[in-house]
Amino acid sequence: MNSARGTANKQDSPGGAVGDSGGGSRSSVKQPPTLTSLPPDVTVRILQHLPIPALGAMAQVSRRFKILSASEEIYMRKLKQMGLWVDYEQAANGAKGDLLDAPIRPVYVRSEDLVRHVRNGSAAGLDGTGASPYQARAEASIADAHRARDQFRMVYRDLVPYYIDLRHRNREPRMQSEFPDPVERARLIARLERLAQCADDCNGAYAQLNLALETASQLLESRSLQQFEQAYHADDTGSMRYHASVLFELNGGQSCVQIYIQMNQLFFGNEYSPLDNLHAAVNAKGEHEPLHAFVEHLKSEFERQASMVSHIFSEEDDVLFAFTERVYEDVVRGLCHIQLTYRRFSSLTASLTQMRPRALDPERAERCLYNVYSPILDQYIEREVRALREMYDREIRRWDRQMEEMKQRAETERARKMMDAAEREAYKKGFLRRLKRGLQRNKEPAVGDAAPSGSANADGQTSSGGAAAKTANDTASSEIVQELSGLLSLEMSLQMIQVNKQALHRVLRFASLGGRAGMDVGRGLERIFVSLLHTLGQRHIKPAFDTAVEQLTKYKPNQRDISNDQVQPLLRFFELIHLADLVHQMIFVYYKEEICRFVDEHDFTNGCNTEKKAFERALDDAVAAGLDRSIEVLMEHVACILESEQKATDYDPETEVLDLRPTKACNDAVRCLSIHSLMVKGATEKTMLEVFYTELGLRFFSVLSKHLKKNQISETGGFQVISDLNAYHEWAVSLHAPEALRYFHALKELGHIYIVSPQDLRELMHDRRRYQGALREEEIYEFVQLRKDYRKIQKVVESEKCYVM
Amino acid sequence: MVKLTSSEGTEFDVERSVIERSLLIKNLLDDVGESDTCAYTPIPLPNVSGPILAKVIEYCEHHRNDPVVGHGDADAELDASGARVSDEIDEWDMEFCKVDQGTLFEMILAANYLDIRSMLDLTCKTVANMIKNKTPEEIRKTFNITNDFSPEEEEQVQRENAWCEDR
Repeated sequence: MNSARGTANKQDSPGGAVGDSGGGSRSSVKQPPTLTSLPPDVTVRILQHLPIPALGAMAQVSRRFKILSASEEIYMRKLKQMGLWVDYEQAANGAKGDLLDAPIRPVYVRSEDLVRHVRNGSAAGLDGTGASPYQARAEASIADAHRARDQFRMVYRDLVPYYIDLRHRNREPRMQSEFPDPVERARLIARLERLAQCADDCNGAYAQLNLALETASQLLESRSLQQFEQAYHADDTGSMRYHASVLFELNGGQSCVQIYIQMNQLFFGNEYSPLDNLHAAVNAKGEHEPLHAFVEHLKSEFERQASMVSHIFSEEDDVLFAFTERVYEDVVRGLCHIQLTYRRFSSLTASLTQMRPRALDPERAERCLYNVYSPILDQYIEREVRALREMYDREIRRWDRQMEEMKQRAETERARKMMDAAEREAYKKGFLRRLKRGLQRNKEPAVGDAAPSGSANADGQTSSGGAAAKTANDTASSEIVQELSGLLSLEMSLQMIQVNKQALHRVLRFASLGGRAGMDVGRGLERIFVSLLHTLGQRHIKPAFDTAVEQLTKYKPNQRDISNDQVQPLLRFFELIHLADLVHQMIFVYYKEEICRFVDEHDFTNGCNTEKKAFERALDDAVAAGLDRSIEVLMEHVACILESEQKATDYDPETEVLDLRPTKACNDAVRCLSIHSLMVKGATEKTMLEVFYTELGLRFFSVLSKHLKKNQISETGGFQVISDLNAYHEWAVSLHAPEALRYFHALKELGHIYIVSPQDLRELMHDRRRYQGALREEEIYEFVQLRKDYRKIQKVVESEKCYVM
Repeated sequence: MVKLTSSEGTEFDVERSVIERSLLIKNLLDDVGESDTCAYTPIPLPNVSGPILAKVIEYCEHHRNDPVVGHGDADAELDASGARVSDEIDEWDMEFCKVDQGTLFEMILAANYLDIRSMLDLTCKTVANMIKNKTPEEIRKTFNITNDFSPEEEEQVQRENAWCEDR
């Protein structure tokens, strides 16, 4: 259905409708409705929009309208509009407090106050001696009559004379003369203003009256305010209270509270200069004398205000709150150099909730504090993270520079400085211990406080200063340790973690703020931890591994080197793995001790956890890549040893004398292998180690087979081969890598083929179980060919082979 | 698009968003769910004649972007501060209500039936304005109401309502 049709319909329909109403025969209800024929609830709706005089007129029109215009809804609504509607059903049930179903409540009106007024009024009004007759009678009838219309009528009848009296602009209004007491007059004006709201609904007939009413209200307000101010300056509490109550009656007294608060000396400067701390902030002890004095002053002022406010205002809670809010906004905010002041002011806030005789509602007090600090929290966290990154950046660069310098020294020199393994081990253990100790100690609050911050400078100084002091006696050994790895600095990592922790603690102080700020704190915490991981992972460990792997790649074994058991780049790489593992452990300790207090370990969406995982993964990858390369290097090295040391006569001796010890080449190779393979132990996790050893074994197996195949083996040499193979096997056992061991086992068995007679040979060759599937038949064949007498026995062996095939 | 049928069977096509100012139809459409089924099933409105339905649609189209007035709560038109939601009637609304009495009352009934709160208020206010500032006799004349009071009753009701006089 398109819209064109719709328009057509609309144009058509009036004509049709006219026809309908003209005919009037199609339906019985075609008589057009009249005011009288409307359903009652609709009529009441219309009447609700009528001003009171028109309602009176309407009641006189006919019986129907007499009844309808007396409908409760109409008057109930008007009473509600005036804020005078009291639900007597509830009141009768004896419920105290919120008896007033008041959609409208002046800001400082407590409901029980109003009810009290009503009650007092009714008691006084019954005998007609009330101090304010209009109100007494009005409210007496509210209390007695249970019908909205009667209630309203009473109120209206009492109020309206004063209202329409305002028409006579030329003479003093009646309320002026009849209510000389400003409190009562204020109350009257407030009521009249409400009445005006519902008396005149649609047209401007009453505009003039309302204007006059407004003028009267403003006049009273300004006069009372003036007097209030005078009383304030005269320190006349009684008079202040009186005028405050006038203003309270008139319009809730907001203006008076505002003035009262504004006039407080606190906002006009004081003799304290808490900002002095900014300049002295970085003093070593971290004491904040000027600030402290100022906070004390604030506290006493608050206490004074609490008692004064309770004397002057009837709604002291709200006034006190307004005052606090203002102080926090104007005074505290100006000072909120966040790190420095937060603790002071949060303790001040806490003390505010304990004050006598008037304490601040804790929730409101916290909101004040929150309002002040939460906007700058973001900024602060941003700055903290930036400072941290800058510091890390500096450290990393310093380290890189040192590395450059070191590179220029001779390699050999470095080698000599290396500590032996035991010494290194002890040193590293000491490091981890120190870290744990450091973390524990700093948990005590005093230490955290002493580090004032907020400025990047102060940050860096204090933290590095602390670390420096601590490590002063270790300087000598730290020097060595840097040499030791040449690639990773434990000292620096430790320092970074400590700085990180300090930053973390500073941020955590705001965790009590709650709400959105609490989330900010959580995010800040995350960022701080992540920046540590990033710096250490990306900028320290990764380049270290890169360099190490590069050195490994460059390494080429040569004759000169094989005299040395240790392959330098390999050694350094394994050492690096150890150090990286140590750094990882330090981070783990830090994570467990600090981060886990705020972050759920199992929350995989948390940035701390994901980054930690990423860090670990990157580390593992780097280690794995390096290990792969290091195996190659080791193999090259071992191959070189074997090649250069294995003499041709080793397995084909000229003499028949049997020396059943392994050859020198074998000894050297095995020693070299075991030194390096042992070094990796403990550096990486178990599964990685297993993979590494298996790979090492397999690769060496292929190197060894290749090597063996270069020799010719006589029967006497066969025994030599067997003893060598036994030595290799022994080494393979030490690897605890069953997969690789299988091959060496096979190899060991294979040795027998060189010492048996050709007749037994075929049996040996085809005994598959012997080789456990590690050697293929062709391979065995190849090994058999190494026999010196192969030419002679070739026929036997080959025919055998044919036979088998 | 939604199709509506007036009492005499005239069909009207209206945008759904427009006619949803009527809570009756909105709730109906919400209950039915899919709008495409509605397009082919006209909603019959036996209580509303074609010309009045046209007026209603005109009103809804003009006010399509107004915030929807709260519904159900009797005090909805009292806003939070206690002040009345403005009783001012704007020019378009004034023009819109310049119709004969019969049509105006039909519009009231239609707005009431279709549950279009703002239109009901507008039309009621218009009637209230016609009542205001008139004597009882003038009101009777304006709306063609028969005085069914006996003289005694009339005098009594006059007395009873004397308090309403504002002078």
